[in-house]
Amino acid sequence: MIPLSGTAILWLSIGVCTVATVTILFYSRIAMPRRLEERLRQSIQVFGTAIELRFPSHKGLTERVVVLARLIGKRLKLSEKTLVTMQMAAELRDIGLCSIPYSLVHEKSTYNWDDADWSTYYRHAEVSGAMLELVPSLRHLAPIVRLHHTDFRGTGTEIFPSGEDIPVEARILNVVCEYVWLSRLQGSLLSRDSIIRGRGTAFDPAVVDSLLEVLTSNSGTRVREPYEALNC
Amino acid sequence: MRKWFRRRPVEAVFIACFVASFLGLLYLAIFTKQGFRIGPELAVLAALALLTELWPVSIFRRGLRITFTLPFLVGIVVVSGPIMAVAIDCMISLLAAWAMSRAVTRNLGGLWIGVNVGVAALASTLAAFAWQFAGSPRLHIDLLLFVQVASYVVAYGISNYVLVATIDRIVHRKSIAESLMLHWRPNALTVLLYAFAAIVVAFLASSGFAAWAAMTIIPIAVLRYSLKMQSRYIDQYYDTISALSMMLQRVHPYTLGHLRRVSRVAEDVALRLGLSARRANLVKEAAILHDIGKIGINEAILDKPGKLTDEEFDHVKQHSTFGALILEPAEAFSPMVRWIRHHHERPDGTGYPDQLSDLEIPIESKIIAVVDAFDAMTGGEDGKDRRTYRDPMTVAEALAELERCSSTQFDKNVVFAFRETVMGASA
Repeated sequence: MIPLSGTAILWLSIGVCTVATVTILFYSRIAMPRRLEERLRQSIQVFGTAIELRFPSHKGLTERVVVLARLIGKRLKLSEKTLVTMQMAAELRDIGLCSIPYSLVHEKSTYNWDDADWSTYYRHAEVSGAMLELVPSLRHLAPIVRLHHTDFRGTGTEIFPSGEDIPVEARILNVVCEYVWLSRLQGSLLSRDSIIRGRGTAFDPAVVDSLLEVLTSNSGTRVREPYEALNC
Repeated sequence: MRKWFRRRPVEAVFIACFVASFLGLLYLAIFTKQGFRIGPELAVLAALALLTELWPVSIFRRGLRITFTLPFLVGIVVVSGPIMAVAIDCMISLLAAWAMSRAVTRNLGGLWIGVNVGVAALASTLAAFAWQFAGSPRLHIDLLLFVQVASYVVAYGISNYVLVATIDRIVHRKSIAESLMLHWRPNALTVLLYAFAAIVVAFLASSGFAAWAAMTIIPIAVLRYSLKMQSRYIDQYYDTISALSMMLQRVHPYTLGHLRRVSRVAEDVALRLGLSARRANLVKEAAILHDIGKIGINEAILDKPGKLTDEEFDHVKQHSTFGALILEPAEAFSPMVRWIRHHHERPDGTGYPDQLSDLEIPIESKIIAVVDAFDAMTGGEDGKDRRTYRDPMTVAEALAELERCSSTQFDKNVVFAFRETVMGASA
């Protein structure tokens, strides 16, 4: 018979408590966040696949957008937390594309789109924002995604903010998304010209300057241009 | 009286809780001559209990609050007797519920506070009985304390759980006990930590070191943090499902009601076929996501009135493959990828995409196929949900059609279980 006195039980319980506390702390501080991040990455990949199935031409855009946006964000001295938020917004920016009619994308070339078609296309930013607004754990991305195609100068209405009132992540994504898409359609030189033409009107001048620095500087941060114009 | 009961079930439960706990307390006070002692330790422990009660974790956005009061309640029992513990528990849950209902924007009203206090009162009274009857004079004094604390904790936990599940069942009219089992599975380590924290507090209180019980705030904070992380993990899973179904709704506006009905019925059929609650829940989620591949399909063809050409039909046929392709990268959806890929297979081997034979098709795919077809045929109650290519059938006609196609297009046993589910629901 083991002598079970009150003190023995007390010390035993304190020992069990300590061990369990340390184990749970270890588990939820180290193992759990890692698993959570992995899950988040996977579900973002799920959304990406869904959009790629509807818009095969968008395949591979997001990777380039993320790389360029991160480099510009670093040049603008954004915090790591903001960079991560911007990356998630970049990965989820196009989930509203599913509201665009299938026939518009698959039966009509973008060269033949008229103004009505283009405004239908650009509504996807607002749709994505509205969808993210309804998802509690992604709600903080909604304002960035909603404004990621808004002109820097303003749209002339009171509905959308303009200038510095647009979140900096949205301003960066606006420039980068436009550049990446145009460079696929018409090559990097012509698309760089288009971005410069929009400096101060559609795009934030500071962001345009850093994009050009990122693309042309001789330091280690320079991004090598793939010759995607040939693949069109 | 009966009519009132049926109209106001929550009030009935609340009154029953109070009456039962009052009678129980009366019994304890008169027959076991339980008194109560008041001292400085009581104040310390009550303050700690109130602090933890005001510091809850909301789990899974379902209105379920988890508090960590129990260890300090046990300390109060040791210091001042079980009747005092009932009184303190009622008081702190009244205070906390009042503070919460002011903080929460939803209009919960006095009834919610009353129910909270009633549950606390009845649970602690039942636990007081357990405390009383666990105490046998033959045991050594320290072992006696150990046994009493253990039975108090177990009785409190079980009665609280059962009461909350009952109220949820009455209010939401669904078997919450089952879904609680599914979503709220605390791991063994968590329960162990909780129980041993209670024992530590009890022994500290019995040897006059009640103030040291404040140290137990540390493991409780850790427990709270880990639960929060777990609930974030699960929330994220459900958020992914809801965002995906929102994307699908943007493509096909008619599918919202369809998805809700299909998922509800699919779970019932799965349970009737004897699948475990966990698996049935997965079937429910798979039924929500089964048409997710339609994101990649031209919606003009899906909504086209009349018969499809072969080419158009081939295009539509891709949606089950697309669905599997979309969900593949996520580990969380890995069991349902196969079910979604095969939800248009037929037992006679003429389905798509893989022309599987009867034995190769997963039972979950067969369930989804039957429920989906039935809902497509009856077209739902709303005019908006009607398929454009056909007039809706009545329930009887649709069931007859399922019977006719069973063992060629649908599995015979699944159709049988489905028939029973539908008849049971309408009867």
